[in-house]
Amino acid sequence: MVGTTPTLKPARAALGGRRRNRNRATTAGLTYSSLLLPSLLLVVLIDAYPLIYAVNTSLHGGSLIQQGDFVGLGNFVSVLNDPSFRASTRFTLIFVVVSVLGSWAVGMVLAVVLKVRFPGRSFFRVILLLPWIVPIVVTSMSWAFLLGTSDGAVPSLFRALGLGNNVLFLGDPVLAQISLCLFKIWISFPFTLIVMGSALESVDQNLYEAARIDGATRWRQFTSITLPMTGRTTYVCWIMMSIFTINDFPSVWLLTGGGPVGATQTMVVYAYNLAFSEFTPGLGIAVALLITACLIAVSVFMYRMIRRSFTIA
Amino acid sequence: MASSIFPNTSTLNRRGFLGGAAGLCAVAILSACGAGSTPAAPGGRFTFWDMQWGGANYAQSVGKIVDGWRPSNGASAEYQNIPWTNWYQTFASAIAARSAPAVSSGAAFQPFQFFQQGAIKPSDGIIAKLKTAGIWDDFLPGTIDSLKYQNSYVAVPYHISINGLWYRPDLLDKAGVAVPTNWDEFRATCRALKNIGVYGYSIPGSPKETGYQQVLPWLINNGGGWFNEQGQPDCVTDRNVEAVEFLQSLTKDGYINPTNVSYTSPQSAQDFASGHLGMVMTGPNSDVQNFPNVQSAVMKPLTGPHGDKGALQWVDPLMMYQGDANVSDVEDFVVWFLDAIKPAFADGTYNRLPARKSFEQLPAFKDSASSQVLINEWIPIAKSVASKSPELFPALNSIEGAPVTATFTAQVVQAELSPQAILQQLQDNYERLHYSK
Repeated sequence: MVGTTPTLKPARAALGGRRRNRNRATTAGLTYSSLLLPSLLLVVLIDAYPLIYAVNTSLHGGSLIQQGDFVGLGNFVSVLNDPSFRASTRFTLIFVVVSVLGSWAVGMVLAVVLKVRFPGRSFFRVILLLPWIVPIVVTSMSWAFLLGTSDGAVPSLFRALGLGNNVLFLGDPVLAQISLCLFKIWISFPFTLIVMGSALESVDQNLYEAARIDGATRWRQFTSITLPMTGRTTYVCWIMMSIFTINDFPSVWLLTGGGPVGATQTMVVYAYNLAFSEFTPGLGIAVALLITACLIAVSVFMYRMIRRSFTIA
Repeated sequence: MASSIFPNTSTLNRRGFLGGAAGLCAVAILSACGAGSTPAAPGGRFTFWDMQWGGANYAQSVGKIVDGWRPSNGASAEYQNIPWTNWYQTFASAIAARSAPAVSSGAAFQPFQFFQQGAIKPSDGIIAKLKTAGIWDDFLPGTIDSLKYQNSYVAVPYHISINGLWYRPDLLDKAGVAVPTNWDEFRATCRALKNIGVYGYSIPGSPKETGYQQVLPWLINNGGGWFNEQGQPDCVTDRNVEAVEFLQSLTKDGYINPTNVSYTSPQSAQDFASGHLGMVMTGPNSDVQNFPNVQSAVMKPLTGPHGDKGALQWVDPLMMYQGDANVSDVEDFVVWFLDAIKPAFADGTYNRLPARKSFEQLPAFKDSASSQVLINEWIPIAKSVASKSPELFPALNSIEGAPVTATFTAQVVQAELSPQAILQQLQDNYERLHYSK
C-alpha cells in the first residue's frame, strides 16, 4: 500500500501523542487562567486600579471633585519642604519606636508570667485580651474622659497626691505625646502577648533544665535562652507592629485629633488632613505614597535581618 | 470522550463559554464607567440631603414635612439626614461618584466652593419663583444677596446660625456682678467668677472642633477679622492683636480652663450646665437643647475697646446640584419647603434662627428672651467669616475645617506664643494655601 511505512507509524503515533499532550496542557493552562480571571479582576479593581489612580492624583493638583493641572513631582516637593511634614515624621518615628518596643516588652513579660501555672491563669489569659478586643472608639473615649478634663479621674488623682493642680494630659504637647504612646501600648500589648506566648511555647524546655543545672539565674535564662530562641518571632512581631503603628489612624484621631497644635500629628493623620481638611488630595496622596515607601523599606530591612538570623542559626 | 456539556461538535465549547463570560464582564465594567444620564422628566423622585440642624427628633420632624409635598405632577422628594461628621467627604464622594442629591442644605460656604468646581446648579430659578410667590421680600435684608457669586445665586437662605454670649444669671448673682457690657466688665466678671471657683469663658481648642467660632467673634467685635475689603488675608492688624491679647490674658489669669486646648464644644456646654463655667459663646436655642435644666440667658453684644460692635454669623443655604433631577420640580420643592418649615420653627425643631421676617414673629421667638436678644441685637451687627470682605468666596469653605485654623485656636488658648506670632503664622498659612477671594 502506498503511504506510510510500518516504521513511521510508531513515530507518527508518538508525534501525535506529544501534540495531543501539548494541546491538553495548553487547554488546561487556558482553563486555569480563565478560572483565575475573576480573582484577578478583583485584585486589579481593589488594589491595582486605586494605586494607579492614587499615583496619578499625586501628580496633579485640584480638589476631591475636580482633578487639577499636572504638577509632576511638585506635590512631593511641597510636602518634603513643609515643616508640618518634618514634625509629623519626627513624631511618627517616636510613636513607632516607643509603642512597638513598649507593647512588645509588656507582652513579653506577661507571656513569661503566664507560662507559670498559678490559680486563675486562664482567667487572666482572657482578661488581658480586653484592651485589644474592646472597640477602639470605646477605649479612646474612655481615655479622653479619664485624662482630658480637669475632673477626669487621672488629673483628680494627681491633684489629690499633690502632683499637680491641673495636669494637661491631652492639652500639653509633650504630655499628649506620652499619653498617646501609652494608649497605643495599652491597646497593642495583648497582640504581642499572644504572639510571644506562642513563641515561648516552642522553646525547648530542656534548655531551661540544663541552664538550671548549670546554675543560671532566671534573668540569665531569660537573656540567654528565651530572648535568642524567640528572636525570629520578635523580629516578625516588630515588623507587624511597626506597620500597624505607622498606619494607625483611629488611635491618634480619636484621642487627640493630632493636637494640641499638631504635637501628636502622625504622618497618616497629616495625610488625612491634607486630603480631607485642606481639600488638597494630591498632597495627601503624596504623603501616603511616601509612607508606603517607608513601610516597604522597613519591611525589607527587617526581613533581611530575619534571614541573616536564619543563616547564623 | 466529548463532554456532554461541551461536546466537541457543539456550537458552544469550553473556550467559547469562558470567552463569553469574560466579554460580559468587560461590557458590565464599561457600562458602569461610561454611563451618561439624561435629565428626568417632570414628576419624578429626587433626593434631599439635610444636615442636622436640631435635636434628637429633628430628622423625623423634617422628614415628615418633606413627605407632605404632593405636587399635582406626582413629583416627590426623598429626605435623608446627613450627620456633620465628615460632611465634606460625604458630599465630595457623592459628587465624584455622580450620586449627589438634587438639593441639600449644608455649610455656609459649601455652595460657593462646589459651584466653583462645577457641581452646583445656579439657584436663579428659585429666586425668580420666590419673587413670583411673593416670598422674596420676606427674607432678612442681605441674606439672599449674600449667596451670590460670579453673577449667579449659588443657593437660597435656609436659616441663620449665629453664636451669642450666654451666661448663667445664678452664677453671676452668686459672684456679685452685673451682666458685662464691654470688655473691661467682661474681664471683671471673669475675675468675680474665679473667686467663686468658676471659669469665666471657654474656647474649645480640639483639632476636631471649630473652636475658632469662639475666637473670631472677638476679632470682629474689635473691628478686625481675617480678611480685608478685597478678600485677601489680613490677619496681623492692631485690632486683631489686641483681641488675641485679650483672650490670652483670660487664660493667663486663670479665667479660661487650660484643658480647653483639647476641649470639644459639648465639653464646654457640659461645663456651663454643671456650673463650672459662667459664660459661653454658643448658638440659638441652646437653653432648650444644650443646657435645658439650668437658668441661662444671652447678653447683649459687648462694646469693644474702641467702641466697635460685631458678631459672627452664617447664612445656612439650600443648594441644587448638577444631575439628572428635573430642575423645575426641585425649584418648586425648595420654594414650597421654605414655607412648609414654619411650624418646625414654631415648635423649636430647629436650633437656628429663621432667615425670614415673618418667622421671627412666631411666639417661639417673640416669647423667647434669648432669641429676641440674638435677633434684635446680634444679627444686625453680624459679619461673616469673610470679615470685611463684602462678598463671600469659595476658600472660606476650606478655612472652617482647616487644621491651620484649629492650630490658631489652640495657640490662642495655650497663650504661649505672642499674638503677633500666632496671627503671622495664620496669615502665612492662609497665603500658602491660597485662602483668599
